[in-house]
Amino acid sequence: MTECSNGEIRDLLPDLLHQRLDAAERARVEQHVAMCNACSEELALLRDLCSTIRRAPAIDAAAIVAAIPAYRAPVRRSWGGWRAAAAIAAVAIGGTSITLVNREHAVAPSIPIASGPRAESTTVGTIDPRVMPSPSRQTSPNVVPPPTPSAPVAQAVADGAEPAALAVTAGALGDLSDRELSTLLDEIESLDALPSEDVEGASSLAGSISLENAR
Amino acid sequence: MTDVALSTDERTDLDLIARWKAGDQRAATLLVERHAAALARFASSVGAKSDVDEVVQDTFVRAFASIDSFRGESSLRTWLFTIARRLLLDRRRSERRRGEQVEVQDSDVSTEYDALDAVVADETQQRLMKAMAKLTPTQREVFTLRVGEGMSYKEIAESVDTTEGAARVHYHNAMRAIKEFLDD
Repeated sequence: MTECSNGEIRDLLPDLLHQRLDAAERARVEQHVAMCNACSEELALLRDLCSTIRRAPAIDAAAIVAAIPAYRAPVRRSWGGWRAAAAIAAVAIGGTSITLVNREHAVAPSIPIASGPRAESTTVGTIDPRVMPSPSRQTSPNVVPPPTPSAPVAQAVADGAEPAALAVTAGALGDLSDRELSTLLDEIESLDALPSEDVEGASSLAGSISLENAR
Repeated sequence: MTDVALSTDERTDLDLIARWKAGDQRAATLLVERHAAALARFASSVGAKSDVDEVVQDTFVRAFASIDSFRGESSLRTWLFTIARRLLLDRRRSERRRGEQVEVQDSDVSTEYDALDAVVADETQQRLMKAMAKLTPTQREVFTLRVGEGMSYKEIAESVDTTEGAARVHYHNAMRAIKEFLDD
């Protein structure tokens, strides 16, 4: 089967077959086909192929219609709804931030690390209610104060962090000298005590709340 | 191209959609009757076997369930073909996960057109079907829509998620392959 070199006309043969050409274009293509054996043959082949393709299995339209659900208009959320969602998201984010800030502050005064031999025998990170600190309680430098669980600090000690650098006696922060306080803060910063997972979790929580309300 | 006729079809579809939204179930019937046969042809031509009915029904159910996402940027039929094609792809993937043979292979010609075999007894048409079965899946999709439905390359590109240029190349390659098969 030969092929006409006029690609433009061949491109339009399916449109001629389906009567999708305007009058002028149709006349032009038909005129070409009348003089071109290759295009005439191709048009006949297309007609047979179309006939073959269009012989499809019968479809039960009634069964399809019966399966179609009734129309439900989409629920449009008012601007008030969006504002409420935004407010909830803001509260969630703000609350999470406050919690994190408080947690950061809570870590600083409760790091229960002491230097000296007794520190080695103390399990850091175990809470013993009998020795829980109170603001009025004074402890000796060698007494390990009741620890608040702090995995990073425990890890630092376990990793052989310099005890002297981390040495902090328990008690109010006001009891510390400026130098001790400065040392403590430096060490806390170097420990990366803020769990990043919590921050991510908080943001994703806020995001999910926002999305949930946006729906 | 007779865009006027096409626009009339599109207007009719949009009018029927509006009537169905307003509660006219007869409009849904008319929409199904207007497009079901074309969808069945497409589904059976591009690989659906005994599940042509299911594919067509699922296509309409999905389309009507999400009719508000149809914005009339393409014709309703083009949109329906897009949904049907995605359903067919999903079915192929799930069948593949189940370990069934789903890829359209050249050696699969004898089973590829089961749905059409029952209704096409003519020897010439059987030969044409075998010629089309030699095409790649994409060539067959494009060729079916171009020759069977008379869709423009633009509409085909939207339906099969390709470009107009690629659709044109697929069509001409398919036509050449069919001629070569018939000449052998």
